[in-house]
Amino acid sequence: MNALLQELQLILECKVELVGSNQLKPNKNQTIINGSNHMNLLVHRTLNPVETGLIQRLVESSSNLNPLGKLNILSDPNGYKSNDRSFKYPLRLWRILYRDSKEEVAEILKSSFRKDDIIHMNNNESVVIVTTDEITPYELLGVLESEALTSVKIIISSSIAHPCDLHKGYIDTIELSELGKHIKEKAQIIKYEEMLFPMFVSQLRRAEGLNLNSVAVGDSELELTAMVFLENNLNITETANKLFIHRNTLIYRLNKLENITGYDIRKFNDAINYYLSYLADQIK
Amino acid sequence: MAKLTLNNINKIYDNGFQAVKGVDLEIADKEFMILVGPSGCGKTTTLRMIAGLEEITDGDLRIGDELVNDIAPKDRNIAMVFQNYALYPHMSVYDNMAFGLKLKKTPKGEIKERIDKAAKILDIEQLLTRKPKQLSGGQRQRVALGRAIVRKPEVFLMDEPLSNLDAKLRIQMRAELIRLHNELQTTFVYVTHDQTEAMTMGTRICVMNDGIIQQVAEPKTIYNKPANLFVAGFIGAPQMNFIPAKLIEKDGKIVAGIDGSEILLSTESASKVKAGNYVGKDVIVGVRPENIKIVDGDTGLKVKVEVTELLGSDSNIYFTFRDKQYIAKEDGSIDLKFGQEIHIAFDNERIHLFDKETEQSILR
Ligand SMILES: Nc1ncnc2c1ncn2[C@@H]1O[C@H](COP(=O)(O)OP(=O)(O)OP(=O)(O)O)[C@@H](O)[C@H]1O
Ligand SMILES: [Mg+2]
Repeated sequence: MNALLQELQLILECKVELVGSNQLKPNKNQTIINGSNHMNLLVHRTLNPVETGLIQRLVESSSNLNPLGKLNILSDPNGYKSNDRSFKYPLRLWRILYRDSKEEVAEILKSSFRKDDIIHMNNNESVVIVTTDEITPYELLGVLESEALTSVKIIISSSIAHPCDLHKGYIDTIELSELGKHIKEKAQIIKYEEMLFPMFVSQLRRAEGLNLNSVAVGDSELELTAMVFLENNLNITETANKLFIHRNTLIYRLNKLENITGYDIRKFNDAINYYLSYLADQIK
Repeated sequence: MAKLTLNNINKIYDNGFQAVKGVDLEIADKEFMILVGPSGCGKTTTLRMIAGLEEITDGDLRIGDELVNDIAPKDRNIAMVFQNYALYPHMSVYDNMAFGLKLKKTPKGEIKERIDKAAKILDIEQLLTRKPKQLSGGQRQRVALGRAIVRKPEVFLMDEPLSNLDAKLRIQMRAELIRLHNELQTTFVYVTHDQTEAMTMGTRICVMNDGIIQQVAEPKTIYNKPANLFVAGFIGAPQMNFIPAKLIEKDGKIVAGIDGSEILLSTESASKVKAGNYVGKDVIVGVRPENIKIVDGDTGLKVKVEVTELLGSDSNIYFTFRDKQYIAKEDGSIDLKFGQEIHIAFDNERIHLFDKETEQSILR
């Protein structure tokens, strides 16, 4: 934004500043240019209609992608300070990753959210500030994939209650998608709340304060069985159905896992301990 | 013309996991092809590769005669329908259906024309001004279909589109989809893990397991002539019974010896057994529950009843034989007591035989 202001000052050869929405009545020697996002430019001289039109277009084109430093509030820890747009809190960030079809994605987002709440980070990533539950992430994913025809992932931050947490929330989503690659490869929607344990383990790992015994059994079928069992709430019947194996086969495998790792994951405590150790193995 | 050809298609994900292994599949123009198999067998991966949403690691994919491996999804002339209805909550049904066309900059008049036509086919003409929230689950699913139809795709790709509906609605929508397929005369590829859906909807079924195609055939062939143990066990509910046996030649006839008892095979089966050199070998006998009948004492196998499930028009009888549990399905309500001894016989025209090692059918 500052770059734009500087550029305008050079073009117009006068002072140009950013002002809020319903502020200020210009005096005779000033002109107001209405930008988007309730942000206006105060130009310290009178402009002719041609100049006004020109500036308007400049402002619009620069704000089209990233209106008034929107990107900053996510990428810069102090970005929120210079941002005087107000969002409704609490909010969540939906970080949307897509392979291509940027234009279509942008168009779909625009029709699903307020324009002000969409931040395009680059050609494969947009972040939406979400305060309503009008559309679920599953619906959005479906719309994006079936209309924009590109593969999509949506990563959802924790609930953010204060502007100063916007940056951290965004950084979390980056970590979540990295973690997701190791432990939720298949998931196209990753929610912070579902990833608490993995986040926890990975942060401890980083602080090098974590030293768990490995539970790697060198048998991917066995490990998959354990994960499906955990995901199905330690329910033997459901797990056996999911894996399309006989329940006796499942019980045999769970016994085998216990023999190797010492954890009988049919028990809640053992299940948690196994899961934490498993995560520690996965997140390196 | 929208024939689909998958030629030795493989998918290895970034983490090194191979989800699809050497898939060869030809889907004819206007066919209703079902991909079915247990969770994780690679159905969705295969469908998404056809759509272009997932890259093909290796192999050739053709739509019509054109190689499309490197063609962007939006240029493939396909439409996707997922299990989430994927409708914009704040837009009317009409606008929901129009959205994709607007994105493609289709002229307004043509958009209206296409929507009117699709709405008529789907019988949702009176819903066009409503918002998704004001619709029932089935109506929403129709609108989602409508959005796909107005694209006029050459191929419809559907990934478990009915799995979010309740049982009654699901049955209704199955019929609806079959009708739609007839009306549209377009190629459908339909993913499900539900074998009833597979058996009732498709012109052909492709059964997958572990990323590998097990059998591709018409529903009745899949049911009556399963290619291997996996297909035999996966299709059919209650499941086919499997019993280890040894094939023996007796007075010129072939019998399956099961722990001292003998089951006579049909002459057709016998000649295949001989031709395949299976005489004297250990095999697995497969018999569907409905092909087991209760017979008078003295004949057949003596077994012990465990539980009977009365289903109204028929009954499932769970019994044990040599400490293993099996199921028979009998017509009518038959109430048997726990521990009761009965005699059963297999319909020998409908006995399946599988190689113990390769698990392939011996009778194909
Ligand atoms: N992005 C991914 N990265 C790594 N592995 C993946 C990915 N997506 C899927 N898989 C794995 O590939 C295998 C096939 O997955 P796929 O989704 O195709 O199965 P499916 O047959 O559709 O199963 P379901 O009936 O559960 O939907 C599974 O083991 C799955 O865990
Ligand atoms: Mg799937």
